[in-house]
Amino acid sequence: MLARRRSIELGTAAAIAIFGGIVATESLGHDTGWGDTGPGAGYFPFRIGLLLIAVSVGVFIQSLRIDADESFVSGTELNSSRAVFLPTAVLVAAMPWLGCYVASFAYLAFMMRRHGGYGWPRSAAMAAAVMAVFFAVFEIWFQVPLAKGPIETALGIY
Amino acid sequence: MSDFASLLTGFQTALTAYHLALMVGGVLLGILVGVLPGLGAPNGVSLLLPLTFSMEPVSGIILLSSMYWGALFGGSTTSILFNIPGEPSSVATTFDGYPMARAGRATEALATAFSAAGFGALVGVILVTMLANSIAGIALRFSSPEYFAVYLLAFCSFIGMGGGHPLKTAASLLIGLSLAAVGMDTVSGEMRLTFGSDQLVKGVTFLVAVIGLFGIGEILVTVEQGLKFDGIRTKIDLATVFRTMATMPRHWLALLRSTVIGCWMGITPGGPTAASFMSYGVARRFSRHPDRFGTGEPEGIVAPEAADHSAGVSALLPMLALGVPGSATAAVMMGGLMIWGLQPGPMLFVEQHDFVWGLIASMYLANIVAVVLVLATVPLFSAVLRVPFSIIGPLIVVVCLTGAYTISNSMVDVAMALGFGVIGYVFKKLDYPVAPLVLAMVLGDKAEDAFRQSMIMSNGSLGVFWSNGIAGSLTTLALAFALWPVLARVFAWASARRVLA
Repeated sequence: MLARRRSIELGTAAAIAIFGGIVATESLGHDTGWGDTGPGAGYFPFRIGLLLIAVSVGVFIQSLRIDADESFVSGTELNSSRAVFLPTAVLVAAMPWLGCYVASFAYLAFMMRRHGGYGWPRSAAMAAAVMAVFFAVFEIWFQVPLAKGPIETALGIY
Repeated sequence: MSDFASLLTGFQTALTAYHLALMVGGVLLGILVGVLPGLGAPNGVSLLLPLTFSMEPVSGIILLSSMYWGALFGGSTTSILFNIPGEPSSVATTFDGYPMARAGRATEALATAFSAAGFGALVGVILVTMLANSIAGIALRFSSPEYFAVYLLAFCSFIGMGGGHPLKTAASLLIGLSLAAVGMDTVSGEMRLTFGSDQLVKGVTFLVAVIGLFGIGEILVTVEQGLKFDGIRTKIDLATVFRTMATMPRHWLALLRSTVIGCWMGITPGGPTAASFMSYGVARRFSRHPDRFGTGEPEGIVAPEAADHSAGVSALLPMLALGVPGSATAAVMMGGLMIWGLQPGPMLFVEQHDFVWGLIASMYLANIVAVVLVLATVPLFSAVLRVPFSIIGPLIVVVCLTGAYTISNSMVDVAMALGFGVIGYVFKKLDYPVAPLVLAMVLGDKAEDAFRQSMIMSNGSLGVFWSNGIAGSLTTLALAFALWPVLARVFAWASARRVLA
């Protein structure tokens, strides 16, 4: 057992309360009462923020009653989620520099090699095939260009 | 023009080769996203939406709605064959569908599900056809207080009827409303919650939220359960299909009851998921042999399926007539309407006559197309699930992130989709419902505008929401829904005391 459900429940409720606090505080910079054009720009968000704090306090109090031993996620479960999440985070970070195609190609090939147990040639071929389909669908069929990176520029693909 | 004449002109719009091809394509894509865990109707429609920006609105909506119908059917296939609900709304179908399939009656289970679903969808469309014009007619007289009351009712019915944890549902709604406020204020032009960032001026688009919450978040939850799917192999033989369909009239009461529940939950935004669970529970309670539920009882398939589909279809009625979507997917479609430059709501029936009736007519056709296609493609799509998850999973992630990029060619959206994915994962694990968040993001600005205009009309008095019969009863009903969890507890406490005394 890695994380307890109760701690995560309490943490989430607290995070939502903080979010509500940010919304309410930011709204104070606007008119939270009656302005020139009726209720001001801060009127609605300010009250939403306060309500959000109230609701999350309620969730927080209810969560205190959860059995302290209940598990949120087991070690193996967390490992599987992390095995998908971390490479995905790298993909998101790399996309602005490498472009959609190259970054996604590397991601797909890596995941197949790492988790599917396929050899590199096969993984790379599959990933390349998928990206070719993407190129056909987006650039040619629907004419929605995806982001390109330095490699496409070097190859002269726009 | 009468409803029937309008419908006929609608068929003229919908019955073109191009639109039929869009229906087939949409349904097939829909079945695919319905079958794949992690891709469902709401984010399938979100992913497809940017590709329809260049289409005629009526063609775009036919494509998107066909995808919705396909996804509703596809979700049931995996529930029955793999015990994996492809859609949250088909969870209840696993209870009896999978045991029936495991007992060697897979074709029967699928045929029962699709017939019940088809019946539910048909009743839903007929309801939309009959009521759309009159509701829009009533709504034409609505002004801001009535609109705000309708939005409030939509939000509150999630709390009272959604079936989830009421406080968590409220939190989800309020987060959605906060996110809707990000960006330029439509009335004063002030920048709200942007913290000086240029990227946030245009606001947080709900499409990114849908892709993250429903797509990435779902994948992260799915991979926890291990990466292998064990399904039941089946061939569809037509004789069994027709024999099963012939037995459907036997379930007329369950069909009727489930459809009524579904239509009600679709029109008041309880959504298909709540409808299918509620219908399953009701069917078991009124069954003559409730002990057979969970072991492969046909009525246990009929009830959730008929409710799921009638809710899915009738969710479009309030979206079109009032501008209040009845489900998360309908919310995404309504966002699409606004992006195409159409204003959902009663004026649509006056100004965009061909659009509305083309869509309604296409709902008849596309659901027939869907029943045929889903039966024909069961072997194909169950083969899709046998592709190793190490290929399918990452592919779904790439499709989601690419979809987030295409919304406005922005890498910030991609990063936000990942962020929403993490939120979706935590919310899913802690039973925070995400559909209310999406609905609130879509309706937030409209609700706020309606509120502010009502306040101006009344010079700041909240009494304006009770100033006439319609607004008053809607507002009161909304508050009753919001307080329902508390009231129910008080009633339970009172009756427990009476028993003790």
